[in-house]
Amino acid sequence: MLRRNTYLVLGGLIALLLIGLLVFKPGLESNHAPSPATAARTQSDANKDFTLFSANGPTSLSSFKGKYVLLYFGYTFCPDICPTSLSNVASALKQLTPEQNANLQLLFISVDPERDTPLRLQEYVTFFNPGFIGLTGDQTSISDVTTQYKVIYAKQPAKSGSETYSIDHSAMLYVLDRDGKQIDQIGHDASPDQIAASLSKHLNPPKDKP
Amino acid sequence: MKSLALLTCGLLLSASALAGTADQISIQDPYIRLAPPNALATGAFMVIHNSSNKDVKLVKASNPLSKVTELHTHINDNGVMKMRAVPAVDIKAGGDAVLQPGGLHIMLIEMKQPLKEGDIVPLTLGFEDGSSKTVDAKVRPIAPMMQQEHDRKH
Repeated sequence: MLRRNTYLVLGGLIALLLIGLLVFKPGLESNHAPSPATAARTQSDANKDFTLFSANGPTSLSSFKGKYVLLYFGYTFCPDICPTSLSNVASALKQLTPEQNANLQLLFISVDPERDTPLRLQEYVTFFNPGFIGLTGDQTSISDVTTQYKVIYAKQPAKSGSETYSIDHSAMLYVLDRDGKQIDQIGHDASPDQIAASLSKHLNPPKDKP
Repeated sequence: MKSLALLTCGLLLSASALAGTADQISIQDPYIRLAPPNALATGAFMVIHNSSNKDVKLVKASNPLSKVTELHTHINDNGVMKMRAVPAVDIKAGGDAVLQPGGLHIMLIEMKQPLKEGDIVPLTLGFEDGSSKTVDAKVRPIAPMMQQEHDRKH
């Protein structure tokens, strides 16, 4: 009799739990679904300042206020995609005027802080254009910046026989305006001409023309 | 009659490991990307033509200047570029395999010395039947457009 009561109590508790889950689950879901409030927060996150390290020490996005900033996320071990993107940007910049170039800054942000030191990054990026700047930081700051720009990256273990891992990563170019607000994204497969055209559009908006 | 003799010859030769597939393969424009001096890796690119009537598989590559040489491809997953080692590169009968930036490539990993523009690297391609072919790949900057601009200005 006692055992039967125990089962009844247990059964009742389980039923209550299930009811509870059914009742409260929609509530939980709505908390996680993107609401206008979270969307707005994400939007403002994208304008948030960040500080990482270049070969010249701590470097903040805000120190380039007044210039258009191009952000590219990559790593120096990257054998193909990053060099192609950086060559294409360097080539596009050659098509722009010196005035336009003076208003632009490319920042190459490492998704491989384990291997990329500020000095190593500088040597790497200046090979493509002497004005390019490489940035890195600790895992946390890199993770914060990549989250801010919704950059996806994931370490890929090497095949046996080689110790060097590679990293899957978003390979687009983020265009930020003079206030550090993201205004455009250029795909990895864009040609130098297409990049130059996109940048010119932002650098010489019709209203700025005399 | 001459072609019959050649065919017989070919059949006899294909029995040996050294001949066979590699003889039917021609390589166009093999080159290696000029990488920044501190780069750990770089890519080799080319067009591999298979003039035989059988599909051919490139299964490995080697060179004296990097510790590791692998066959790779890139997968574009919604803007996320994923580089993956591939077991083989297929070259269809009478067709081409195009190794180019952003796609299939031969990856030179852990360079023993930095490559300079104009360096020639002997790259040995190994095929499924054990035959191989060595080509001289020239080191050059990747973006042909950059090169053209460079040429125009000088």
